[in-house]
Order: sequence, then structure tokens, then C-alpha cells
Amino acid sequence: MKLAATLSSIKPEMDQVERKIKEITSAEPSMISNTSNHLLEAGGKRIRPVFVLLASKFGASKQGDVIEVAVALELIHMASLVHDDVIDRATIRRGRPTVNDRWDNGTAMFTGDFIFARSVELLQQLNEPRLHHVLSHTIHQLTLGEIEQLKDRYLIGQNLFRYFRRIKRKTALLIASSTELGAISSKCNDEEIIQLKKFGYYIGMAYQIIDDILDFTSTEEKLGKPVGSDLLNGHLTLPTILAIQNDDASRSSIEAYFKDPTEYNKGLIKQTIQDISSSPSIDEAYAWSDAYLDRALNALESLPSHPIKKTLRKIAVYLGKRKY
Amino acid sequence: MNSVNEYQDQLVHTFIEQYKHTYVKADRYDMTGLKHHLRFFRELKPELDSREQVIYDAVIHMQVSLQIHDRVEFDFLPNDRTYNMVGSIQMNALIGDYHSSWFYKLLSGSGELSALDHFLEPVKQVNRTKIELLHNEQLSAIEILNKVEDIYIGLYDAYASYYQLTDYNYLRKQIIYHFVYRQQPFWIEKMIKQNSQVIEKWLERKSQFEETSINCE
Repeated sequence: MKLAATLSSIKPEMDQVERKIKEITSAEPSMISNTSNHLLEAGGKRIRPVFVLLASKFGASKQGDVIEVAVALELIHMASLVHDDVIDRATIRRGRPTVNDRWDNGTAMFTGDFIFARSVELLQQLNEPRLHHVLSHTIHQLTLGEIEQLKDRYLIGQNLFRYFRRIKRKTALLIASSTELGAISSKCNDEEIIQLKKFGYYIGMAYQIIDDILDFTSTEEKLGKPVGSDLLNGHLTLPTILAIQNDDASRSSIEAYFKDPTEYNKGLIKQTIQDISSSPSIDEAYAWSDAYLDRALNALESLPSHPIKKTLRKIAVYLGKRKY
Repeated sequence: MNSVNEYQDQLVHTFIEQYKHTYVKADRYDMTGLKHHLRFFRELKPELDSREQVIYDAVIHMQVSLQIHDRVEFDFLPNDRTYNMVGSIQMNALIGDYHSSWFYKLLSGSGELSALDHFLEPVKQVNRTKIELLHNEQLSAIEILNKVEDIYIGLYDAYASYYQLTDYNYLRKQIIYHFVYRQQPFWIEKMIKQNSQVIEKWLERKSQFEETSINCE
């Protein structure tokens, strides 16, 4: 399935979002424009604006407001990515040098802080306190998730609850906010807002699980980073947690690596990454993703009849089954 | 004097108790810096009702965030990628984000959207100025000093203008002296490496502040 074809109905609005982001990032003094445009040109799926726009179709959409919300969400996502790259010491994102690699850590941090303030400012024009209420809660949860993730690095004794809470904060809430804010800004009723938020949340959970699976099963070329990067960087994701539960050999190997993540052990862990990629843990992880996808589709069913439901269903299935 | 110190320590203790993330060790914070920010902002407006207390807390969060993000750059030594150093960079980045999220959460959660609107511009401006300092090598030593002062005084100016405080100049000088000239802060150390004339101008301005009897002790 081609995502672009599915999204053709909102293409003019997505073009507007893209233009507006470019307009905002280019309006600043040269260095901020350079760094922001560098981020922008790296591309991305823009799934947050997509969900804002699609969710807004259920309400008496006032298009201008919805575009601003979609732009703000994407800018916040961009700000968090530029900080993530500093935190992860990433040098490449989507095949391009990261801001911290191309310039330096300080430039990346201050660009992220600037974009964050600019995106909140964008929402200020809309005079809708609920937008801020939702978004500020989400951003706060996102930072809690990031701190937890760092604390949990190289920690073997993690259970599923901990993993699900982390991905909820790290990914699912921002996607849930996209559908919720799209619904709020287009004046959906309360029940529609709740169901659209649930839809976004479950899609976000499925999306992150798939991301974590692909980290094992995809290729370095498609991922733009080494296969098994999460585990190599000390992060336990769903396939690894399940492998630890299911297989003593994987558990021992990961334990040894986490105790001493040196080059020697890195060589050994690569075999474990390969083992996990072809283990039943991958199917089990897919089953979790499918369960969240089903919940998302159920939330969608409870929404009033609308042609856009078909598009949302297609996107949900696409994101839940994607191979890269 | 002791009671003043105790009061300031209590402000720090209350802030840390209320807002520090459980996983973050207290020694991650520049406690002295935090103490002085809490004190200076309180001196600007000593009496706070509950709404004003929220704004005060929110602005302190943003100030902490802006300054701890400086440490991300400061701690980065390309040839020293030890685990501790890397962990330090990562944690400083996260703590800064955590406190800026508190700024947003407190102001939006309490409906203080006009305050939110008011403080976003100086937040942007401080970050613009930092990036300019990192990348504009044509700046003169005086321009650099002015910009460094702007970084440290930006939120104070915004706080004073939010409350339309008219009698702020003396305290403003004290704040600038304290954060920029009493000792060399990160930005001055960095700028000295970029422009050797900065140290001379910095010393000149430091003595000018001291001659006018600015004393923050």
C-alpha cells in the first residue's frame, strides 16, 4: 500500500503544513534557519500533522486553526528529535548528519529550545486553553519517559509494564495528542474527542512496538543505523524483554554485555541480536502490536460514520504492518 | 544574616523537594545558582499571591532549564567520550527539558496563558543570542559582553516588565554583576577562547561594577 495515495485527500493541507513550517523556520536569523531547515529537509513521515488533519475532519473544522495545530505538533516533534540526537550521541538521522554532528551539542540544544518555544507560541494565537492543557501534559510526560529511559539503560530486570509505560510516554501520548488536538481544534464533541484520542494512543503504542521490532528485523540500510542499535545502546525493548523471558542463552549474553559493554562483548552481543531477530519473541511482539492495532480500530468504529474513517483505518493498518 | 541565609536555603529546599525528579540526584543542580535565582526573583517581587507563586515557580523552572542546557555544551569534550561524561551530557539535556516542561505545564495548567505568551519571546531571544554567540565570530568584545549579559538577565527583564516594576535598575545591575562578573561564567570562559579581547573588557566592566559598590554578598 502506498501511504501517499491514501493521504491524497489531505495533500493540499499537508502542503500548507509543509509551507508553514518552512516559513517559520526560515524567518529566523541565519543560524537558526540553517539548523531548523537542516532538520526539516531530513524529511520524515509527518504522521503527527497527518493525524491532526484527519482527526479534525470529524468536527466543524476551521481549517486555519487546524493547520496551526498540525505545524505546532510537528515542530515539537522536531525539537524533541534534535535533543534526542544529543542524548543518543547520534551522528546520522534519516541519512543526513544530525545537528549536533554537523555543528555541535550546544547549537542542537539551543535550536531545540528555540523551536519548542516557537511552537507553543504558535498555539497561543488560537485562544483555546484546552490545547495547551493537553500538550503541556504530554510534553511533561515525554520528559519523564526520557529520564526513565536513561535510568533504565543497561538494566536487565525490566518487566513489560515498565516498557509499555515508557513507550506510552515516549511515543504514544504525542500521537494521541495529535488526534485529540485535531479533534479539539475542529470543535468535535467530547465523546468524539475521547475516541480519537484513544485511537491515536493505541496507534502510537503499535507504532513504537513495530519500530522496536524493525530495529532487529530490518537492515542497516533501511534503518539508517546498525541493526540492534537499541540493545547495543543498552535499551531493553519488547523483543529483547520477551527474549530474556523465553531464552536463557539470550539472557546470559545480554547480562554479560550490560555488565561490560566493551568492544569485545559488543562482538558477542551481535550474535544475540541475530538470534533474537529470528526467534519467536518477534512473533510475540507482533502479537502485542496487533492487539493495540485492534484496539485502535475498535475506537475508530465507535466514531460516527464519516468517509475519513476509511483513510484512518488504512493508515492504522499501514503503520501497524510497515516493514521499514 | 543567618536568618536570610536560612530563608534562601529554605527556598531551595522547597523548590527541589517539590519538583526534582526522583531519579535525578540533587548534586546535578547548581545549588548556588538556583539559590540566587530564587532570591533575586523573590527580591523583584517579594509578596506573591497564589497565582503569582505559580508564575514565579514557572519562571524559575525556565531559568534552571536555560542554564542546565549550557552545561550540555560545557561538558562536551570530543576526545573524552567516557561513560560518565556521556551520561552527564545526556542527563543535563533531559533535566533541562524536564524543567522547561514544568514551565509550560504550570502556566497552562493554571490558565496563566498571558504569562505564557509574555515569557515565550524572551525564551526565544535567549536561545537566539546563545546561538549567535556560538557562531558569529565577527562580534566585538563589547558586543559579546552585552549579549552574555542578555542571556543572564533576559528572564529577569521579562519578569519585571510582566509586573511593570519601575524601580528595578539597581537590582538589575546586582543580578548582572552576580551572574556575569563576580566570577567567569560558562559563556565568558567560552567567549574568551573565541575572542582574546573579551577578558580585558570583562575585567574593565567588572571593576566598573565594583566601583559603583555593587556587592551581592
